[in-house]
Amino acid sequence: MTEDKKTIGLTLENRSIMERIMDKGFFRDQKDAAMFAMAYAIRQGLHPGNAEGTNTIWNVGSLDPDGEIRMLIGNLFPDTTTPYRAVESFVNAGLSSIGSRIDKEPGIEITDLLGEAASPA
Amino acid sequence: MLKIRSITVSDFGPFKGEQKIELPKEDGVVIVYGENMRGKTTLLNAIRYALFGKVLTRGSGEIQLHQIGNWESATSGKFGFHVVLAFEQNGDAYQLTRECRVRPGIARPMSDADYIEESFLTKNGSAMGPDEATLELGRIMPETVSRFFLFDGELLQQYEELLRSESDMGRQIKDAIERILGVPVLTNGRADLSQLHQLAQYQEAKAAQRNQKTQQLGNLHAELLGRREAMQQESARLRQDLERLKVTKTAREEQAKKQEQLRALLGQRERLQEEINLLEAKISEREERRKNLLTTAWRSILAPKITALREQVEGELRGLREQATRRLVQVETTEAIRRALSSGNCSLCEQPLTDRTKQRLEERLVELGSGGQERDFDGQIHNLETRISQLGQHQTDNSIAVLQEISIAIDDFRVTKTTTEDRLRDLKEQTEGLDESELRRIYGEYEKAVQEIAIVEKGLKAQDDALATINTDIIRIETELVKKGGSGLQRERKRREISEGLRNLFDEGVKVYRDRLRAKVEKDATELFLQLTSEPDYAGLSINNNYGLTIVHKDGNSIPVRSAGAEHVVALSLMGSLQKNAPLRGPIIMDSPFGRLDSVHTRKVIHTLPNMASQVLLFVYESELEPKLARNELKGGLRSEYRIVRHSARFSSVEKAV
Repeated sequence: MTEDKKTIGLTLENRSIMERIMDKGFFRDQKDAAMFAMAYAIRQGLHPGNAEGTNTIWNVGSLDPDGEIRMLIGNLFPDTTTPYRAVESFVNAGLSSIGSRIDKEPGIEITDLLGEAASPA
Repeated sequence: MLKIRSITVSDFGPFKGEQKIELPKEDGVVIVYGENMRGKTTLLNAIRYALFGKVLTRGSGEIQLHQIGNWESATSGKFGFHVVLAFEQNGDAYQLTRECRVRPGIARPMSDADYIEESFLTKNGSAMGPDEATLELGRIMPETVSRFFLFDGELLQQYEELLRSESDMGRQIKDAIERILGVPVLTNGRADLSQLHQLAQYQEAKAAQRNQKTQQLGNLHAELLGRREAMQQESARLRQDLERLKVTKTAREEQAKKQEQLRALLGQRERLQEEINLLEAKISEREERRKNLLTTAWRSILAPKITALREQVEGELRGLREQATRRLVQVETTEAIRRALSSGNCSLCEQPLTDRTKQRLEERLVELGSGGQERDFDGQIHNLETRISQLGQHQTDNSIAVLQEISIAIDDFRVTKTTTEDRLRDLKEQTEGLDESELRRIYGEYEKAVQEIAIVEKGLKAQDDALATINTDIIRIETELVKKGGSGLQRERKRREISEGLRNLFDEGVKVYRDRLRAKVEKDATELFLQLTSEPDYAGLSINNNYGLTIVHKDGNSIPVRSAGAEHVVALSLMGSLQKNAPLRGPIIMDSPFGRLDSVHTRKVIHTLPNMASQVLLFVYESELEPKLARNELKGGLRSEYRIVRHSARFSSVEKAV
């Protein structure tokens, strides 16, 4: 049985996307942006995967102090046995997806993505 | 007569690179069309710069040379500018070049000190020395009278000041008018004769001192003449001071007027800045709210998915509960049948079972079967209930709509802020260098000049009174000398009397010449005015001692108050009349002369222009003077047309209209 992750990291490419997102000044910190990216990916109908080549950014305790995220992933994806590994994959997939959108439309704002995320997946 | 042949500007104001306007040899009108902010006033200033090395604002303040170079050229590292004016005067061809270039070693000039200004004048192709060139230019176009050749239509209302005898601006304009009309020729002659008369008086005193009989009187005469000369020198010094103070006062008055307008702009600037600060605070507050909402935005994004999942799980729970109920009923029914078959009696009514009934119950028992595998309904139901409860904990209010509203509001505030910042930038350009302390300084200097003028005028009056007294004493001594003096003094006395007579003659001549000039100016201005005005009830213009012109109604009464348009027409009449009566003739170069005139007056002015000067150069915008109207009215008198073409806000060029 695969062991779950104790830290959440970003790939090099997604770190750069994270910086670009933070430069837009919408989020108070990277943690909020990461949670946004995770929700964006889940809302797009993606499934838990495995993010390769990540560098640690957060300890799971700091990202999910009360275990709410772990529980949510458990409920949304009952087959998942490693919820934080799933969280890491969603955060990275979400950032990658947002990065592609920004590349296509450099003027796009986070709240425009919010509208897309809110529409039915 | 001065005639301009061409004006070439290079990197001057909005004119990037070299731009040239050529004026034909023939008498007539040349029109340069250009919309606002394209460079019409700059062209007028280019001519002024070439002739006098000055560039003026509409408030008559000088513009720093550093600010004149073309901005786009400066951006590409090219600084400095030059103007070349080609003109003819009495058959001689002149070319005047004035240029401003960056001092060696200065990579990026920051002020006037970083430039070198040079001018060159050639006459019939030969270069003139600097002093010779200055003298020649002063003779051809003295700066003091340039206002009658180079004028800004927007400033024509200044001529109304001539109607106010106490106005310093009016006095300055009057002096300029007298200069262009040649009055100084007579007044300078009168001054020279006064000098000669005083010299003759000294010689008479000296002759009297040499004679024993008149020695005492001669000594007294010489002493009085000496004292008078000292007093006259003091008087002249005071007059010079007074002149200087009045110029300062007028300049500060003009600056204050300009500053008043700018002060209003400054107020507007402060209001816009406050508006921007308020918008920034609103943007900042909403950005903060957005950040707060984005902290939990992920919940809102997932809310529909969680709701759908919970509904799905709730459905599963309902199904499971139904299955559990059905299983319970099945178990209980099987048990009741088994009991009845075992006892042979019905488990409800206790009646004995018939064979047929037993057979049916056995068949039913087979139908119900053994009940299959036992399932852990309770455990499964508990699991589903736990999931539903957990999914319930994730539910949040939908903040996406609020976030989007906030983002729209932020965008709106930003657009308003950008628009406000643009307006503020414009205002800042207009109010550059203005501050309250500058305004206070101007008012302070104005007040100081007013006080000093009062003191100097008082001193001058005392000096003039003393001079009158001493002159009386001198006349008394001279009368005594006539009585006591013998034939030895006769020659000197005659010299004094002749010089005195000549001086008085010139004095009278000045008065007569002025009166005649005023009458001629009045007559010619009236003639022009009647051609220009559209009001049939006006009979003409009446002139005052300051050359101020008042409109006269045909009933003989003066029109006390006149509109800006009427003021304009009167000023143009005065201009035309001065051109006609001045010994110094030249072109009329006008910037925006029709801005205040209606179409009827514009047509009349256009029609009359060729009579006002042999060469007329107009800088106008098309709605001020329609090209079709100009062509119809001027016909062959319109020699050429140019157009200022916009390439960018800081790049205009001049093109000859086809």
